[in-house]
Amino acid sequence: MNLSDPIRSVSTTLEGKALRVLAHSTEPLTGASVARIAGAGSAPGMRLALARLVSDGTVQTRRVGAADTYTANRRHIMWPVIESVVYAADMALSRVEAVVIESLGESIGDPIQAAQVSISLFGSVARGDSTLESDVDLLIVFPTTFADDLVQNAIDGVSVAVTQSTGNPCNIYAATSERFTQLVTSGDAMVSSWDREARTFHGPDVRRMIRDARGNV
Amino acid sequence: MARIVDVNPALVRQRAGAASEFLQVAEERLEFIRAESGESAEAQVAASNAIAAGISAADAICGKALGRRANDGDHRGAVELLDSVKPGGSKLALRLSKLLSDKSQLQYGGYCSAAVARSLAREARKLVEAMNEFGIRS
Repeated sequence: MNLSDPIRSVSTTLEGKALRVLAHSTEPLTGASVARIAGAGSAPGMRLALARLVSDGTVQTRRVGAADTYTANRRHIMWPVIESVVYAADMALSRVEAVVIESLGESIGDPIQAAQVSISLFGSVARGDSTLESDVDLLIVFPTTFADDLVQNAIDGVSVAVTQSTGNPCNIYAATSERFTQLVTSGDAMVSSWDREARTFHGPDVRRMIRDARGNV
Repeated sequence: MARIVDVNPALVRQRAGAASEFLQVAEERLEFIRAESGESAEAQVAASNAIAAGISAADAICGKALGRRANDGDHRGAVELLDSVKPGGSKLALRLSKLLSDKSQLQYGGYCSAAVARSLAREARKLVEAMNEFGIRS
């Protein structure tokens, strides 16, 4: 899936993008506004898509001054389904993160131990510019005290869970906290990238870990 | 009438990032409050940052959902705009309204209590967490 545009898992057309915009607003919007908010399609193209949705009944239109405006027809029998899909798409990345956390918990077993593992998203998915084929890039920092087989089990479990839940390959950069500190103090190129864009969603924050490692030099 | 300005995706991310940072500062300062009774500088700073977090989160949500936000200083406009988003715009607007009602008093008045600071931080956290429901990443 394209985690930067998850609605495409359900609809690859402008109609899907239009529905996503209208699902989030109760205010009437012009076709140009819908196109701008959706970040896709020209205003004329979006108006055509909206016209198709008006024909379908899922969108209503009203003339305001010189402009046609559009709102969701929340009384349409399909609208609850449309809303569910849109909101699920918006939560897609959070749900992938939840899948990762659950997988880690299952592999580690002990919640106190699991809480010490830092997991961060980086790369194109973290930046929001990923494509359909993009890897899901994860940085996982394990306490140095963890056994090698525990770490490998956890990595394998997360990798499988991410691929199963997204269809995308999962690229995991795993390090012990000792190794991570070495990478920071040696000025490894990846560290700058993590500092800039990594988003920690479990355990110790990676940016704080970087600063702590630098501060201890 | 509310002054509404258009918002592009870069600004949404910027406001979302600011919201997360403000909230983090607010919650960190809460840890330094020495006494639950009485007022303190730590509580005031926590409260001020909580308010900033809520405003920034509201801007990010409105920016993502509606492509626009209320102009700085237009509190009523911000609440009205947030009320129009879905899901949960009404509840989010209520939380923002609670934050904004204390804003002026904190900026120009004295210290606030720990209880007020914690309450504001809770409201702010709900607004910041709500950004996820709109697919907003900071």
